[in-house]
Amino acid sequence: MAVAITCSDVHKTYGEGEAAVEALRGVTLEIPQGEVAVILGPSASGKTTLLNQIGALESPTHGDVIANGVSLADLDEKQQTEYRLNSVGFIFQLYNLVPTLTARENIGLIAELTGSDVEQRCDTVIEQVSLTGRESHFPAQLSGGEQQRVSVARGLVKDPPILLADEPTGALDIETGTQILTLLRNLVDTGERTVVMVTHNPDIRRIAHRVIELRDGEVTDIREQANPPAPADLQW
Amino acid sequence: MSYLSTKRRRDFRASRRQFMAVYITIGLGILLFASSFDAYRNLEASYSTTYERLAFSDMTISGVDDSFTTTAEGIHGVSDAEYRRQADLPMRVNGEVFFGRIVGPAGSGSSEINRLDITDGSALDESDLTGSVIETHMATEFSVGTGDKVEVLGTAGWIESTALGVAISAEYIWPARNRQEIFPPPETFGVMFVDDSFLDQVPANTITEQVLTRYDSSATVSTVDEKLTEASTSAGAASAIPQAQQSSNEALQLDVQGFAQMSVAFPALFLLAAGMATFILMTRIVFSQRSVIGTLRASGVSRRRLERHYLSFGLTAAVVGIAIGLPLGMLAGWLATGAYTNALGIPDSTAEFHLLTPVIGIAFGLLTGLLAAWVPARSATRLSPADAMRGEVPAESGSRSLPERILPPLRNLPIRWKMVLRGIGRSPKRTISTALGVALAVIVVLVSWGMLDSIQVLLGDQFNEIELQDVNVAMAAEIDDTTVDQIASIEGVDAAEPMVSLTAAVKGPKGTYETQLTGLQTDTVMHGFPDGLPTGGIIAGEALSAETGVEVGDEITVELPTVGTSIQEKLVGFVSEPMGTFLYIDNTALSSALDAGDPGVDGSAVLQSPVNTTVAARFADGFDRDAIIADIKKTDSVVTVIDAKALEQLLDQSMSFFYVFVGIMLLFGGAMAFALIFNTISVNVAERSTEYANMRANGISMTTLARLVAGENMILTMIGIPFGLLGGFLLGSQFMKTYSSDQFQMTFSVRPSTLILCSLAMLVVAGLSLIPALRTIRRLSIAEVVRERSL
Ligand SMILES: Nc1ncnc2c1ncn2[C@@H]1O[C@H](COP(=O)(O)OP(=O)(O)OP(=O)(O)O)[C@@H](O)[C@H]1O
Ligand SMILES: [Mg+2]
Repeated sequence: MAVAITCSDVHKTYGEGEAAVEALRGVTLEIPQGEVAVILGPSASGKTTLLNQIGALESPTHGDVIANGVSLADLDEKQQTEYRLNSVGFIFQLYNLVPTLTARENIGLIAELTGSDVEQRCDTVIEQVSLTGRESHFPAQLSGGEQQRVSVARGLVKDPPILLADEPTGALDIETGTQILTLLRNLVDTGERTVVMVTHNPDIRRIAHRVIELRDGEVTDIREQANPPAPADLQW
Repeated sequence: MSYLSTKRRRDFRASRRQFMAVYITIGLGILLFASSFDAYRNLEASYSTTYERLAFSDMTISGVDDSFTTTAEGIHGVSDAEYRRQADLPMRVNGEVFFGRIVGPAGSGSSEINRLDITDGSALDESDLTGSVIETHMATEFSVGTGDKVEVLGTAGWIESTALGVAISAEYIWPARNRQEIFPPPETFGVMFVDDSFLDQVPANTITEQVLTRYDSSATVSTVDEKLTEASTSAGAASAIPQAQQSSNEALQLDVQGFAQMSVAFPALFLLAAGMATFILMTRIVFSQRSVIGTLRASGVSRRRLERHYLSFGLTAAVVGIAIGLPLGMLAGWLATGAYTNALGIPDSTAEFHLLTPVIGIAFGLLTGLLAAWVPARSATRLSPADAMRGEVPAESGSRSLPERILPPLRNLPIRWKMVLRGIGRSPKRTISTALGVALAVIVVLVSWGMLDSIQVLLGDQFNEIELQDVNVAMAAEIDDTTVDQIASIEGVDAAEPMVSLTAAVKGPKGTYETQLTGLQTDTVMHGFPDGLPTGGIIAGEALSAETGVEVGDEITVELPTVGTSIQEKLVGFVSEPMGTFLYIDNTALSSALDAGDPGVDGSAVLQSPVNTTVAARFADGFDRDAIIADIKKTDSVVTVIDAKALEQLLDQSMSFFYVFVGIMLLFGGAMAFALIFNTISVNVAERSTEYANMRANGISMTTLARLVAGENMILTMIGIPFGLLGGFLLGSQFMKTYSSDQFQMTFSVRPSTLILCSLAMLVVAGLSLIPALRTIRRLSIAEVVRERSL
């Protein structure tokens, strides 16, 4: 299988001098295409930071990330934007919905950025995340799980080859969490997509093809799991 | 980008009241600009139409004879020069006597320069040499119309003249007697146009000979002015007054200048305020949308697109503001021009559409909106998406407040009040913008109010400190001790003394200045001088130095054209007086200076002549002014009594106009203050909604919370007020300086009560603008705030 994401000796340091925080200290890993990879680790271990490097939200201090065939270390502003537009979809820990737009409009906002048939694509993802019927509600009128599903749909609507999800189930109950995970797994199983998911829930790792463990900004373990169970079969 | 525009539309709706405040401020700024700029341009156009149509003299030279017309016409750029005579002397209408003016035609027969605009009856007629045409202000004030009789005090007693018609004259659109007397009370002045032969029957020493000139339309006015002034000086003229300094025109130009200045200064203040209101609002919107911005950027929205998105907020606000302000402003300008030209009786009222007004208005409106949105839009695009993603990092840091550090006992305040104090220091940007907004509003209010105060202070100074006489009594007999005693002995008259008033011209290295020489008795009680009137030498208004270049200590020559001589005297001091630039001399010194000059002139005879001298009288307190004046009028040889306080009363009455103006500015300034303070406060509240929701969740009562919010914002208002007072004072002084000339020395004076009222008004406005913000807090659904994670 082709490699979707390669990190080689990625370092990320925030701040300078005494205040410097080394969030990543030489991360090297490969994630093949068509896999669900889970990044696991205690709080402050650098999970979000690593995800941000893969999503080109910021550039590594040292080292390089190659994702979807693009080397991210030396991209300028414009190229980063271009990469994000075409290669990745984000699902945020905080849902970051526009409070003044309805669920459908929040999704449409991103759909418009890429290609035509905006409405049709919206319909498709709304159905995928089972939001039909709630689409004209404003974020404040949606439950946390529903908001998270809008945020997932928003990540999907561009149909990106790589999906990055930061604790997509963090604030959800088991059932809704399972729904979201099933959805993400289905995306991988039915297509060529790659999903990278951050969590510190050890149970979730079982649905992944690959589990990456981070501690203090370093990879402590990478485990491959053949034929992981479907999320619905999990006991958690 | 249809969903982005949906977002913008919803954002507007979510902050509609704040945007309303922005529309109103931009709208007011544009309205003020359009109305005053249009009024200014219309007035200028109206005047020049009238001046062209009536061939208003470009320069009027006094004290030269007929032969000067040839000299003048020989100067390059002068197209026409004509000679005329005019005389200042007592006139009588229906038994009322006043000191008026008769003016002969320029040239022979019908005037080619300073033509009259006959509004009733007919023009002068060769067949009736005693006929006259009445200037329109005199016709109104004394109710004389075609066919009525007017009398003029000639060499051989009263001469009767029949009014043939009524006319408007370009020279008297504003009925000023001369540059020193711009505001003669209407019942003390009147102008009548007569045939030249009429002037043969009046005393020679009341007559002024003049040459009027017109320039080629292609000539450079200043060059011709200069050459003609030079020629007049060498011909021994008493004065050469260019059109720009002609008393009526100059007075009218004060208003034109006022409108011009208003069209710059006030709109600038309002647009500045509007810009701040937009800036505050946009900063808040961008800040609250950090995570959304991060999401959009993470999804591949480019910086440019995002920047355009937020800039479009400013643009939209500006367009709405312009759409409100521009039509209303142009309408107001049109109405103002109409009302103004009507009130002044300007015959050619031009109210044109000036393309420049909307062009400038739109340009400045858009500029305001775009500039104000630019900084927040930039900061939105600068935001690193990764940072934005991490949610709201509290940008503010907590620390003890300055007052707590300076005044340690404050540390014992209840914690909630310490919170108020710390809230002020916690976001310097917010503190500064609130204080600045308050300051701007105070400036608008104080400048307008201060103008009203200044006029009243000026009047108070002029009539309580400088011109102390109540009346000047004009008599038919010689003014000597007997006549003065006669007036002094009337019941209610406190003091009486002779007061000499001679037309005078001072020549200095920089030019000639035409004014009046006032002779007063030693230790006069009729005129106030800071150091008393010296027994020798001349005292002059301080503007004389700038006008002529003479300095204290100089030996100056004062031409006295009505006496037909000149005197040499030392200039011993300057006085600073609010109205006019006059010369003052002790009567004894004046008499001997006259004796020392022309051997044919007898000093004491000049001083005793009733043509030159009146009896000035002061009234005792507690008497009925009108009764005293009536008693004086009944005295032998009294021709008329000129009420020296009439001007004060006149101006006092016309104060109502200023009250309207200040009222409007108070209203606008108040609206602006409201808009600005409202925006700042509601932004303050919105930024802390989570905090307030948490406080409420933890059991702090609504009343306590309201008190905390009100307290903090009232303190912010109080911080802004002194800066506004200072700024307003500086700006007002600058305004007044541009108005000051040799005719008015205006200083910006603000009464303490005004300062207090301005400050109180601002606190009230701040209080009012708190109401909607407090209502927002009351309505804050605690549950929703906590739930809406992307606030
Ligand atoms: N902008 C920043 N400036 C300074 N330090 C930062 C910044 N962003 C992250 N850090 C630090 O980097 C380290 C890693 O942060 P990161 O957000 O990647 O952790 P995480 O593994 O996602 O934790 P969590 O599970 O709590 O979300 C932390 O110590 C954090 O404080
Ligand atoms: Mg994290």
